[in-house]
Amino acid sequence: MPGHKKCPTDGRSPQFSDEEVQNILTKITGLDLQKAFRPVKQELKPPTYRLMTDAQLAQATQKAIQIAKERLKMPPVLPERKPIDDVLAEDKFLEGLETVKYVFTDITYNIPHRERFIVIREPGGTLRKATWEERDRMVQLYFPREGRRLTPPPVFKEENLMVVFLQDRHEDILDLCLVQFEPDSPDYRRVHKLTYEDIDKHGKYDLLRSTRHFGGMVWYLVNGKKIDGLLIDMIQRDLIQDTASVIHLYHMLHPRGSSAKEAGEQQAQGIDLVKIFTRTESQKAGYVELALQAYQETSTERSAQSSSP
Amino acid sequence: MGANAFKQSSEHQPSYLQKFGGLNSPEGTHQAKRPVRLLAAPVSRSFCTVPDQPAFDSISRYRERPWEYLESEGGYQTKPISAKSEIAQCQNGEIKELVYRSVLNVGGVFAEYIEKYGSQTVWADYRRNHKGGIPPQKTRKTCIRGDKISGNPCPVCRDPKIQVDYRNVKLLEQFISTHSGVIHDPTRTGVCMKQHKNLTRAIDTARDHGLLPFRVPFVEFKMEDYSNSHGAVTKTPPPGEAGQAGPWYSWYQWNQPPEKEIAKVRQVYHKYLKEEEPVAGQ
Repeated sequence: MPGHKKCPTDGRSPQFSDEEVQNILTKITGLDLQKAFRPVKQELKPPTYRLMTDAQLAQATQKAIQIAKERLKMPPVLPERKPIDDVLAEDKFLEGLETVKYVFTDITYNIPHRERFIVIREPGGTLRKATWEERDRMVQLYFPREGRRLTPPPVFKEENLMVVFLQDRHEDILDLCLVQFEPDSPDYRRVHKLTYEDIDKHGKYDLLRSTRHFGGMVWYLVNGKKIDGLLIDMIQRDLIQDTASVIHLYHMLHPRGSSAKEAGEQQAQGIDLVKIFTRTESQKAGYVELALQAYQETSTERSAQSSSP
Repeated sequence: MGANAFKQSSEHQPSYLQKFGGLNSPEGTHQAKRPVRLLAAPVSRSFCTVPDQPAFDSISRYRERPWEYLESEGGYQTKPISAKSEIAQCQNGEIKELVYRSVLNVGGVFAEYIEKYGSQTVWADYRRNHKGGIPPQKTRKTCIRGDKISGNPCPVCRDPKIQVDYRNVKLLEQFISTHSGVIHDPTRTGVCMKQHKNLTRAIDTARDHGLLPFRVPFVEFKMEDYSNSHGAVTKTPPPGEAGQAGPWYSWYQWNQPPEKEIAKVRQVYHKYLKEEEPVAGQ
């Protein structure tokens, strides 16, 4: 399919849910079976052993890959929801009758939560629609979701988040955030932003690689034009294809930048894209070039060694 | 008996000293009627001399910063004390007498954490007293009842400096299994049920605050429709607005249900359906 969704003349910049963007991000995320199925702390039970033929083993590996792909499905990146601010009726004659607010929630089973009517009658007599926080609370009260708490746990406060980051538990906190908050809520966006910033600051990109949050992180960094650290990390791990994909994504999102124009002129591929990017729009150009040089030296050494005997 | 209200000023004296005019009080020196006779050697009683004072200060200090005790070593060496004296710690935390119980077999030496426990857990050297080979499945309800502390108190109750608080992670980690992440049973650690409850609560709070790592269960994320275009979450135009064709909300009028739903209902009640005739409206 021609990339009609990313065509700059489209007028619409590429979104997270576009097919091409998703393909790039899944490719970058990778699929490390050892990490996806690593042993976790749980109730101990005696191990099970199975004798398998090679064919059965291949089948089992395929099944494991399928399950891992399910687990690596990326949660959506959405713009922040607009606050609800709608008064349905103002009945002054009800003023002073009650001292508390009444919340009326529609608990019909078969409707999506975002189509549920939740209205609040204030003691002053106004009948208004509930705000997003009140909506989330009410929906959680009547239709509890597994793992979600009524009030968000104190982990999500700034100071506690710092402690969690020091323990290198970014993946855990992102999982907790995904369970607790809606993807377009301001809390979700704030926690994700803080996590991504911390990872970028300390260069801990490998913590999220091969998890479902890697795509979101790359999207955030590319939108914020902070991909230098990520590129350095990838070059150091010899993932040149991934660096090329990241820069391709960068050009998709910022097509009017100098690096995109030059790459378009020269029709560059692979490592040349990286070089063009370092020349033009990179912020940590020095470090990226150093990393590139080191990579090229090691690759020439390796090819020399492999060709010599 | 000794002082009831323990003051932290450097001038406090127990009442039995005050009866005799006190050591440094102006009346004592001024009047100098009777010689000061102390009821017991100053070292074995609590707060009359300066070296013992930090002993008391440390407990209240550990209440505010409980994690410091677990990193402490060395400590003040005081002379051995009488075996009958006890720690009496009220349940509301008021400390009546501060003489160390000799039950720990430390010979009355006032040792800090590393000297006392080394690198072991606090419950490693504790042994419950019970009849027979199999211990009762529940430990005792509580070690401290009012003023009294029972014989062979549990590892947490026997050391008043151990504060069960969600902030001293090192202590809480000792009560969690390293392999499975599960809180140890009280029959294994020997703590009384009340302290076990306190520990469980503290561990849960610590996990909530992110201080203790735990395994986050994998919850599959289900995509919903996030367009937020439904009338429930957007601004509604007031009813009867000029130029509004049709009802205020679309479901206020009859909507023909989708064919699939009709088919489902038909399939469920197919035995009871009458001969079908073309139905107009409801």
